[in-house]
Amino acid sequence: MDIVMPSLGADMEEGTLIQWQVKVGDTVTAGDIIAVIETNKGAIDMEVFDSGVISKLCLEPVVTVPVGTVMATMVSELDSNHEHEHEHEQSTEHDDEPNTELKSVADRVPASPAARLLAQREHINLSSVTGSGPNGAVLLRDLYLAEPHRPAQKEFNTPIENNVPDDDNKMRRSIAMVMEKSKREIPHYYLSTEIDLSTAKNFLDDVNAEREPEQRILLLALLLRAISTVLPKHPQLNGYYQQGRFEEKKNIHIGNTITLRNGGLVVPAIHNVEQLSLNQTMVALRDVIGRSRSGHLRSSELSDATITVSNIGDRGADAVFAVIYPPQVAIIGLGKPQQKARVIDGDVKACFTITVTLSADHRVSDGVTGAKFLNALDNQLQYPEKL
Amino acid sequence: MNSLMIRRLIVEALLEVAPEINEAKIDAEAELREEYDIDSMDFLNFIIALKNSCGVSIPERDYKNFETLNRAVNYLRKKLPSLRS
Repeated sequence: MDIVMPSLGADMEEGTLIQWQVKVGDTVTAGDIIAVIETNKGAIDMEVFDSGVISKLCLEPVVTVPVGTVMATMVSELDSNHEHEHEHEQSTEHDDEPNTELKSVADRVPASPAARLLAQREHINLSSVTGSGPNGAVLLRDLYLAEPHRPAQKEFNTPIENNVPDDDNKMRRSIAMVMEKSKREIPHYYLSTEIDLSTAKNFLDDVNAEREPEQRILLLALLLRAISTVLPKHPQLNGYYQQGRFEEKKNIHIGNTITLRNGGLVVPAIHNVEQLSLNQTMVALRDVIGRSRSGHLRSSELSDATITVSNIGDRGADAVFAVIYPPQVAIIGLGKPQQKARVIDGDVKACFTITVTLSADHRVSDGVTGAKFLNALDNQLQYPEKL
Repeated sequence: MNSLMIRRLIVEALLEVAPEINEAKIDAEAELREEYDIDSMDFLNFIIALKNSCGVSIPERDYKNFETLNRAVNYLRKKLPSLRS
């Protein structure tokens, strides 16, 4: 059964899938919210009109499609019984005459095609599931019974307390899940250093004085460039820690924490910052912030950052000690740029400074790596013209 | 261009970056960036919006004149002398 982009009035021609609230294999009941879509009527919670199991998500958020476009498919309760019968028939056929696909991997766990697909998508190890089909073949229903971490559907029906808008609640919940995982699994260590940005600020002031507002460079862009210049020499801070091992990444995709005006946070990545000029970094930053607020981020931008930079300091905190976004292994916190008295060669001077922090994964790097990185960043920022 | 018209231009530029602001409740003496949660990118976009609507390219060294709505109105009045009514 197809789930399509609904028409919410004659004036609606298209809708934008903002977020799935379900994943393949979830059991839904008529009236459950399965996605957030953006329409000409604002953000809409999309409900499902039948009960059953989600079998496929055809679209990746964020994407705009015409009304009537198939967004997902589900096996309704009635269809479900039928499909299991069908699977049973197929399995029996294969018993007598295995197809080439099955032959080539004869030693793998017997399972129906639908179950195999779902297991692959959900990273479920089929050998850990007890099959109830012919010859112990794993059927779709076995996966639903076996998967212990699948969120109960009632999670989406949690009554909203106080007057927090539903959207905020959802974003809050997704941030909560990621941060909980991070603090549960990642042994963070934290370092901080105060960097003198006087030279960098003078450099930017001079550059920007010559420019129209559209071409001006923000300090944040300069800092991102400096970070991407220094990171390759500290590869233990750029990559993913998954399944017990660290995978270093050559490309530097910097996730930027962007606060949305209606509350909530998105962390889209600017790709390959190491290959961008300062101007290009600024253009990319402007682009990604603009699209975060207008709601047109690409799915890759929300999933492939190799390191994150938190810029909460722009809103007033002296320093920010951030929580790593798994599976990344480091996050850099930029505090509030401000004038401070510093002692330089025995003299007290007014300097423009920023406190930069590093939170990093102790399974992958040690404090000494982090300290070297922060020092290198400091040095790099004394030569802004090279960025 | 009188103060009311200038104020209108500034408020519209502000609404471009912070559409949730309730225009009727704007406090002309409040610190714009604090009060309306304007970060450095928002502020730059506000300056760009102003340039597009009134043609004045405000240099960075004059950003301090945009701390409050009233200060911004005074600043733009001086910058738009030929249009002053």
